[in-house]
Amino acid sequence: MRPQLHRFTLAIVLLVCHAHAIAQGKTLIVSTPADPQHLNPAITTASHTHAVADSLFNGLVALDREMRPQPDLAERWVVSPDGRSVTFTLAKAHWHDGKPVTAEDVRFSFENILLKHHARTSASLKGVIERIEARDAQTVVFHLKRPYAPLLQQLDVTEAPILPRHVYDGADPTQHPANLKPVGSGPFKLAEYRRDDAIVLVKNPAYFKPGLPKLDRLVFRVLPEPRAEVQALIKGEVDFVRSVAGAEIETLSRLPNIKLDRVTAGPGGGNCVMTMVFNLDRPAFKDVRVRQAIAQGIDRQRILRDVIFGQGRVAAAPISSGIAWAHDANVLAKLPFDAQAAAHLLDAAGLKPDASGQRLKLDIVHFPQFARYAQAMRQDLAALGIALESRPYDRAAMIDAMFTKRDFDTGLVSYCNGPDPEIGVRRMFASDAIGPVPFSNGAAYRSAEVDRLFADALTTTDLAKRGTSYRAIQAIVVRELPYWWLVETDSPVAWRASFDGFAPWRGQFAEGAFAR
Amino acid sequence: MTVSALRRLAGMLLTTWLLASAVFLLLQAAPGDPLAALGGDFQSTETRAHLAQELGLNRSLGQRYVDWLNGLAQADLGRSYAYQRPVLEVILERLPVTFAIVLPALLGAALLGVALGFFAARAPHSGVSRLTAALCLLLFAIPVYWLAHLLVQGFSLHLGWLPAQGLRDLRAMHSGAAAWLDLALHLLLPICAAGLHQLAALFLIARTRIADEMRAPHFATAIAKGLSLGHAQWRHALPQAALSLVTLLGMRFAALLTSATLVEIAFGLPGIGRLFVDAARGRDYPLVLGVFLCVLLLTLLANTLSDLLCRQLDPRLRGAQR
Repeated sequence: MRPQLHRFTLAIVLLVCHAHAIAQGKTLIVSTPADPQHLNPAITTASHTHAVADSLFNGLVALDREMRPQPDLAERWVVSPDGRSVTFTLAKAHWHDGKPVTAEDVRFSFENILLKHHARTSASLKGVIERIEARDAQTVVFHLKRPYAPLLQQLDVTEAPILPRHVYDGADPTQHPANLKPVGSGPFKLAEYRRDDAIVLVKNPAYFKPGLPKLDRLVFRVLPEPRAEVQALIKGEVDFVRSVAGAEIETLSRLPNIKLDRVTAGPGGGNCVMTMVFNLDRPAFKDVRVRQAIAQGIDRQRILRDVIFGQGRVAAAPISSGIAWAHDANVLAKLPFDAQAAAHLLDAAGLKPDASGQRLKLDIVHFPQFARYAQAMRQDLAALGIALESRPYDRAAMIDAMFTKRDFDTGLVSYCNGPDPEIGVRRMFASDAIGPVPFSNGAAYRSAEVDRLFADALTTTDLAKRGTSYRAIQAIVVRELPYWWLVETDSPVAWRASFDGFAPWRGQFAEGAFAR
Repeated sequence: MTVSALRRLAGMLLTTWLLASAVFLLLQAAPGDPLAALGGDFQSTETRAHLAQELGLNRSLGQRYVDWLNGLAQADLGRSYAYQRPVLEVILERLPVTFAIVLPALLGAALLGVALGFFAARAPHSGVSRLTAALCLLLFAIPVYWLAHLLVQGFSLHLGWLPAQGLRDLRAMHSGAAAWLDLALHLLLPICAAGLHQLAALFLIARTRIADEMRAPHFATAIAKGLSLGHAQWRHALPQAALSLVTLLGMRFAALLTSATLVEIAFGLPGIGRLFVDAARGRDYPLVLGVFLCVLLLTLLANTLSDLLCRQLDPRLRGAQR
């Protein structure tokens, strides 16, 4: 009996191990902080939708780590000499239901869905695209009203996913049942969607890129708690974590079976700069010297070290260093951290300390997760005699206070510049971007000169010429200081070393991922 | 009996209406609106206007209140903004997960807490009894949320016995009996995290109450009659103490639902606690109100149950009512 039992147990154990090994080999488990709500990436900019849905679809192009366009649904493209039309040749791809992907799908996706419902793409491309012509099944031509340089950067799966016309035609895309049962062209297909729990994708065996994807299953696990994400990663219940909390980096970097990377882009936008917003409508900020004093009174090096644990850089310019051709690396050098200079500026502005040493009282509105920034700033400014009162608000309340009611002195906003200043920088400064739109011109900054320079930058595709315009803008806004740029923040990504081949800066980050 | 039941029902309805109306108004007073969450970051003023129209947010507050009450009277909780589905459907989908944590936690805490209290009451001043009490006080003082992380750190990361999060092993994807076992293993730590708090509270109360009864004259009589200590405790101390324990259990239920929310967040479980927090963040008014009503109903139900149980336990309560 005994030996038999042993043999039996051994058989069971072997069987279980074997089954385990098969399942484990090619299943990648990714944690995501919030439920996607639906899986249509064309009608939203929400990062939690894109984090999952981008793996089900394709854009016309993909972006490499340096944000250069690479083929995706479009095999190749030609820009006309006058820069006013771009002709794309499509690859021979198929939807998950077997129908071919055609130029009509591309035209339909833009005209009926993206330009109406994808907030970022409609904001930046509606005024640019004159019409889209499906010349034949495999050829689509974008006719532009004027040359528009950053077009290709806005055609990846995050900014402009292509949807099947035969599924969405004639229906309201925001209420369509296919948003929960998506028919895409991407490397993975939806197998199961359990709300707030897990989304299971399986390999699309008919994917148009030979040899891809290499994983059999891509599973997203909804884990709202950053600490739980890291614990699950260490335990091996999760293989890939996007956006690891800074404080956890050190723990993870000591583990041999965990790999770390830092990226400046992701499904929610890229090249983010943590920025202090001055409400220019407030009398306290009428004098630029007060804003300069605050700028010079904040130790940004300390914020980099203690708040984001080195996961980024002190901002050297209003435009992120991730957009190298537009970034002006020296423009903030004349405003170094200098408490003494800051005190002199406040004196000169007539803000003398009262009996208790206080010169000025300000509030700062911010998301609760940015509390450590506010704390560091409060300490620095207290030394200058400025009392900074922290007002941590949730998302809805913060947007209400800053952009709808404009009831704040200063605020903290992570402005993501995106791959081109036209996408994420213009909205901070343009006078037509003041209003109840979230994360627009929160300072309510107005400058005819800056408005003109933004318009200028759009009339040419020549990067050198556009760079000149953007550098001129930076010189002006650094002089007038409607904002103070604190740090550029990177997104730390971690995964288990048993996997590799990720492209964490792309929406479709696991297209080429494989198990070692 | 029927009169008192009817009176009780009327009281519950009034409570529900008053509290729900208060939450309705509080929600409107909270800064921000659902549009910011629904429209995305780059929404235009037109998008906002369109959304407001679609969700009926452009109607007056009074109109919306009346419509909502109207729906409520017909057991219609409305549609969730974020889910675009009936609120009731969304809640019913989540309720089993919360029940799977709360009910075993409550049952386990009650049985174990009272059993431990039963034995500790025999020698309330012994070393073991004092140590257990100190441990329970400590457990009661640790925030649930932190306790959850300690349990994961110990049992899942350090010892490797139990899974750290979720409801099932997403890699193995078991089926049949193995799937149920997998589910049970995944629920063990969350149940402990939610239940240990209640266990500590119940133990402390049970020990004190039973020890009190054991000092009473009727207990001395029982012992003098020649009953064994255990038998005397069982017959003459526990039933008396049970009244306050059952009442406490009914009251702890609401607290347990609150802990369950934190546990659901810490372990990433799709229960109604998390649904409530997310709905409040997104200002999904119908969903917040729906979950609130559901929790209110459960709490009232738990209190009624504990009252009924008390009547069963104590003939005096039965006699007091006409």
